Amino acid sequence: MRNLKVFIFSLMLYLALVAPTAEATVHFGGQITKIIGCINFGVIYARLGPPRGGPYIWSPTITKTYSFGPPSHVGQWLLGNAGPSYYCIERIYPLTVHPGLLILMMGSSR
Amino acid sequence: MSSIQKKLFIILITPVIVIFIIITVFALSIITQNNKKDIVYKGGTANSMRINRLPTKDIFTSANKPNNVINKVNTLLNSWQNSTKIKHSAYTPDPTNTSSTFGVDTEIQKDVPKPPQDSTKQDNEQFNPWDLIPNHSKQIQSKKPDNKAKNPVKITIKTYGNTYGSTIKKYAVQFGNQNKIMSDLIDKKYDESSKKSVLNLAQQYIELSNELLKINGGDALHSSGQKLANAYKNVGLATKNLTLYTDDTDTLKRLYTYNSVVEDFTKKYLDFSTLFGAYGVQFSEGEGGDIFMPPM
Repeated sequence: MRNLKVFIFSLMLYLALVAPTAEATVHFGGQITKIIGCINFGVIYARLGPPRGGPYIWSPTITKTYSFGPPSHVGQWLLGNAGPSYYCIERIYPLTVHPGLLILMMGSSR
Repeated sequence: MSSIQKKLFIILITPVIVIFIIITVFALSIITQNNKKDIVYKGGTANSMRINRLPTKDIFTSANKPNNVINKVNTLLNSWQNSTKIKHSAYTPDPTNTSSTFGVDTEIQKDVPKPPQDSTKQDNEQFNPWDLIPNHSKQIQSKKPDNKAKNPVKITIKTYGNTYGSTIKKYAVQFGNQNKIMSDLIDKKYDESSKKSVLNLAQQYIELSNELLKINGGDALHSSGQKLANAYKNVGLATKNLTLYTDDTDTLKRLYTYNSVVEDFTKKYLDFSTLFGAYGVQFSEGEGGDIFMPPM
């Protein structure tokens, strides 16, 4: 009985953590742990830490940016939602690319 | 009880008593302060005019009623009565009671007409008894139920949005999952398993697009819906192209193409989502169209 409870709790926890990936847009939020300025049209790659981290890409043409502007430094907090997969091209020779989710709208800390 | 226990008891009980006394004194001081607040009338405060702090009911019942208060109340009641007389003749009081001898103390309940229960909306807008009460919160008045009938255009758009959203959900082209697939393609150097996953994803996009193109209805949004469906197909084709690796230069071109297709798709997706809001259509959580709602 106890094992069943633990299993159900674990399943619920897993679903709660996995649920964001099953949405049409992904809600994210976390502190920047790595930031890269990409060569493709002013795109910025930001890897976020918890609580809802991962690789995200800010685009000057697509992303609707609220205060306090685009990702700028490690330690900055970002919050928003992201859409389909996108590529940040860091270098051409050798070709170095970073895939991430394209940020649709976001806000940031100072 | 030993002497140590007695001492301990005194040590513990003393602060409790002191705190209780402080709280009592503090509470009494607050009550006294509230009672001493001046009521401001024209020409000075209640204290200065020696009107004193009579509760509201005493203003009407006391033998020492100040004349200005009686006059003010009479004016308000007369204006209320007159306005009602004009607009709701059925509720006009007996003409014998409309004389200037209208007394505040005894005639309030008898002579003041009540607003009609089944009056038209126009009448309610023209006459609002709450307007007679100064500083009455306008927010309370504005809490009227919205009895507007649902617009058939909205219903059509909502149905279309739900069908469209449900189709997207059914194909599970989930942005969160696809990032992993696209990352693997690069990380695993275009190996067969990662290529297969990407091709599968691309195929899902194309099939989704075909199904979305078949959805009819949603007159005002149909055109945008078709554009978005085509954008899904373009993303699918661009994703498929990414698997055709030859060299870095070629891959770079494919990546740029893919990025521009995704940007175009995103713009169309956002435009389509915005249109629902523009038509005043909202989806609640769990509905097919909830994917077009902005995040909360």
